[in-house]
Amino acid sequence: MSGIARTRLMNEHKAFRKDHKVGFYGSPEKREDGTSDLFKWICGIPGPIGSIWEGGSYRLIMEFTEDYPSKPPKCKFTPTLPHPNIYPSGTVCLSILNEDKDWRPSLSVKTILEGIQDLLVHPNISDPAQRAAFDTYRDNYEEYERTARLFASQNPPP
Amino acid sequence: MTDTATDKTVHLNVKVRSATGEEVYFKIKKNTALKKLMDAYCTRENLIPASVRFMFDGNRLKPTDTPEKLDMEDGDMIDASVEQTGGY
Repeated sequence: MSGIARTRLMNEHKAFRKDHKVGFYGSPEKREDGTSDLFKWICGIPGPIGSIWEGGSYRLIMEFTEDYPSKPPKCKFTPTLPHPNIYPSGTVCLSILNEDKDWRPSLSVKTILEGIQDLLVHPNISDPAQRAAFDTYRDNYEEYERTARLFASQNPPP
Repeated sequence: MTDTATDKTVHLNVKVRSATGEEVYFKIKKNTALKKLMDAYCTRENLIPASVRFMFDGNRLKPTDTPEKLDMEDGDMIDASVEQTGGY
């Protein structure tokens, strides 16, 4: 049974190399011996053009279990992002990444990354994961924007 | 073995996509250094090779890499973007 996740991830890797949106990247982490870890992907999400996140490329680690795609991967920005729905640990809080909410096995690395990119410009303030970013977003948007733009400039594409 | 079959084992078709989304297709040999493709793309797009960053499968391409070394397959995509330096 454990072959399901592996086969699926191999196929997703092949598909991602052929088709992904501009500025996105994602591939299984390379180990020192040259082999790769299919269950841990190093990904990048570009800041949407025209948004306060534009110009940055945000590195994200995706960790899968043998239960994928029945269960979603854990997605974690490294470093974390100053955004209301990103935990201080970097973990992304998003309904499509929650198996009890909107996760569906038909989602893929490609569509997850696109969903997280959308979250950057559409925070959900009814379910904050990070106090500091949530407070500035709500009480001082100018400061929130300044922080985001600074963060974007500090995280250029690789 | 037919000619097409031989061709498949030696050549592959890849595309290079710019940051603005234009795609250029190349037919390359599996064991030829990618410098040839990179130079051809720059000449075609009128770019200075040193100013262009080529990314494939999460890594920056090195001119000495070959498709074989990177396990490239038919239809794979390489992203090209022009480097910029902040602060000037």
